[in-house]
Amino acid sequence: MISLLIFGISILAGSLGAILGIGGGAILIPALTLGLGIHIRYAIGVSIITVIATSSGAAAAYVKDRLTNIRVAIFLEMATTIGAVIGVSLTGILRPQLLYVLFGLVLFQSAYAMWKKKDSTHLSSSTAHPWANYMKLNSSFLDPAIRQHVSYSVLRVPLGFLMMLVAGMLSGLLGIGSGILKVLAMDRAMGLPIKVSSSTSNFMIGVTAAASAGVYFQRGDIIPELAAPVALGVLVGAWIGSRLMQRISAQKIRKLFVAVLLVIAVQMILKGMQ
Amino acid sequence: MTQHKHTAEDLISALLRKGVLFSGSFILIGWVQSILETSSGSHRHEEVWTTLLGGGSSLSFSPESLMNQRLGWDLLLTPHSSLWITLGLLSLLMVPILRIILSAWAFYRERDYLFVLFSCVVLGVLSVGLLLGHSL
Repeated sequence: MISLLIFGISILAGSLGAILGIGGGAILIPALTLGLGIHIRYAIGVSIITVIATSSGAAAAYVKDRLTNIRVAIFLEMATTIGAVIGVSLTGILRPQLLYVLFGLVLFQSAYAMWKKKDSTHLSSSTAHPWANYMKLNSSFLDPAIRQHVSYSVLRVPLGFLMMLVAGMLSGLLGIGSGILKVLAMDRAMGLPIKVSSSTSNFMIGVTAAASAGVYFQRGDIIPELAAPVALGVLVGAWIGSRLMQRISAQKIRKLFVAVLLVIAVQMILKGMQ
Repeated sequence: MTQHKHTAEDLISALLRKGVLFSGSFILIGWVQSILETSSGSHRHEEVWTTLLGGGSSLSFSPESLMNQRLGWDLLLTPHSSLWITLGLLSLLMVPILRIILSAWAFYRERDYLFVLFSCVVLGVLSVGLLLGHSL
């Protein structure tokens, strides 16, 4: 039965999303449209549900285990939500084609940078940004994969905030990629360990998606028959993914993230050139 | 600040877990019901799937339309898979919003007023976003 197949695909999308801190739309949308021939309208509608389900499903475990930095999340959510509102207001003014290509190229460059970066188990607290000290953003967590406490400081706070603003704008404008950009901003600008970046991104994406979900509901894009197996599959997948992520080494997560980055970069460039 | 037994993290993760279980069980009831409805001879779900898999875009479903159709006793007397699923999806939507309200409260309890302010800003911007969304 077709809805069982969709349930299965959604488990996969949910667990990958939970591990990498992304919504899973990048996997689910092509599977539904290219794989099953479902119209893009409903694929996008249901992918909003996917984001919320991945976020809430995985975050329950990550927050409890202190992997999610909720202070960093709430501070940065100001930037992403403001950015998203600006982005949504700009739709129709800016031509998205060029943005897709540009976004694709940025992702390629980021894939290269992420491939080269190494996670260390201890980052000196002397390098923390003064705002990070003031707002008590620096933290630590237990990484079961290496059986060690990893303590970290938060660097370049203003740059991270600015990048989140851009990330929010782009996701509001293009309707995609909010998780990918959030992970990149935390990883590259603020120097957070990859597990913290991805679980904190995971925590954050639900909020932005919940804000835009109302519009999709109103437009009638969310079909219950399709949404039920997707939402349940993603919830199960997010639960599995949140268990797996703890045990996978940071380097492996980084490589998996690079692979997904490349797939999305190609998708974006193709979309921009249409 | 550590005199509270439950930290902000504990409260938030409990909310997320309960919210997901609550909404997930509504969706599950609806899903099982839609399978039963199909096997008991209702063709509605089959038609929806045929349109979906055929690449059609003519379907439209909104919670309002469902409420308008079946408001009143009819709503309670006729168990309807779409209703269960929609209620589940709507409550799933509420989870991240409730999470921000809860974190504002948790930070207030810890006298961390800067982060209370941050949470309120996020809530405020979200409300603006929702209003903008409706006017688009």
